[in-house]
Amino acid sequence: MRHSLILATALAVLIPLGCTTTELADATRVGLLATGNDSEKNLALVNAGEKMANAALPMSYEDERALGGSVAIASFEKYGSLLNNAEVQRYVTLVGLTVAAKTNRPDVPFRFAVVDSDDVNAWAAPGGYIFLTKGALVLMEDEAQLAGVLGHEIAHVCRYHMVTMLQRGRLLSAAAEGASAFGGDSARIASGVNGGLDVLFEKGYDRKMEYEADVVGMDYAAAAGYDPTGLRRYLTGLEKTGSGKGGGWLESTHPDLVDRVTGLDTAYANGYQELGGAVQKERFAAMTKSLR
Amino acid sequence: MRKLSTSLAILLVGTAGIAFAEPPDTLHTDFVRVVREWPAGRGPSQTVYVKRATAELRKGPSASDSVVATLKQGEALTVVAAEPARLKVKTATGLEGFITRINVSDSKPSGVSGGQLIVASNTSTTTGANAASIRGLSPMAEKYAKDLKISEDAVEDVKKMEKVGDQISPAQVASFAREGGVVAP
Repeated sequence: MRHSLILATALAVLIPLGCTTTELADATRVGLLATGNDSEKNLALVNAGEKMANAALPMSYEDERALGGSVAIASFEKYGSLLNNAEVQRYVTLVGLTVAAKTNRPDVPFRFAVVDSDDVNAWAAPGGYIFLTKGALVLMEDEAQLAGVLGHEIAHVCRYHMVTMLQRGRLLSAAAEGASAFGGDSARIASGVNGGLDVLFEKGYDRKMEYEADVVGMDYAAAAGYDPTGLRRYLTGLEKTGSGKGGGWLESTHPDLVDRVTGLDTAYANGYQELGGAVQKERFAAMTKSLR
Repeated sequence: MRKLSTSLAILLVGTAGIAFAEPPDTLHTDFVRVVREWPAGRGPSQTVYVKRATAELRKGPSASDSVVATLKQGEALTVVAAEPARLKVKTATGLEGFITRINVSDSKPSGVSGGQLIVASNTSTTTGANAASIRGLSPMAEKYAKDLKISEDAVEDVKKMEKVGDQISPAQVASFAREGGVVAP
């Protein structure tokens, strides 16, 4: 009921209010295409839109990485330590880097960690820190599922979801021209970190951010060469096992599974279902055998 | 909940027509773009652009067909023929081949790097180093941990996490994918 209301309201208001400049640039492209203007004119307008977008960069990558590194430290303190298994850590990182190469931010040094926890969860911190619990990993059946889940988390970073949430909540300081948003002040970072942990483990992201991370994550995994159904199969598998404990993907921090699967299926039918892609059950089983 | 799914489905189906309502919000942005880029009846001779950092141009319309060239982000391609999942295209240098639709965009990508964070239009600007030049745990994050008396073990775990990735080269990633039959379509 709440969703229907939100949907109706959003329909009336449409995209532009409060959307990011990146989204505005995307919306501009979509609009241009629908009008069928010639490509040169389109390009000029798109470039104008992007110039506008580039004129508004509230946080440097250095600050984003500082915030993300702090959230990463706090994550390990709060959630559990790094799993002491070099082979598994390297394997998950290799799958993650394969997927990350296909994002719109290929120069971000993404880093991956399996956390020594039996909870079923995965999360991301700004700047490229991706976490997956051992409990989530052992529930997966193949490498495409792992790629799909990592793709979802990578998408949160690439779409700046946490930074956007923190800015909305006024938990990030605005930076002066050429300056750091934090200025070496731990209290200022702490405000962002606490807000970030709240998003990750208590309140969750905006529902639309989760839907977007699903579809964009599927896109990244598919573009890397993985079976695009990996994330969907993982989600539906979770439902069967009922393993969303500990703030996991089926808990209150994430939207209803039916809606997520509907979103993925609809996207899948448009350009992804003909692609095929690797599932890799064997390598996944071999590389995670020590955890079972 | 069922109501939402139905509304969502109707909306998405609606995007395939000539005139369609704007989506309720920015969710499914990529999907909506895919549909809108290729409305029914849109034919060849359109220019598209490579949207990934790299994407393969193949001899035939299958991921198992040989690679004619590895195209770079922003490269302009003229569409010669369109299939459900792939396009036959011609490059500026006259090379012909097939590319997966999910690897192209109707407009030239901005080339926005990871170092350029675009979040909101009404905030001030700072320019930072490119993401590619920033590695390792931020000194500011270490200071945060120290000032807030967070355990050194947690800091060490992040450093170890960084190290795992630092020790893997792009060539090793490519080789890992190849050995596993993970072929970019």
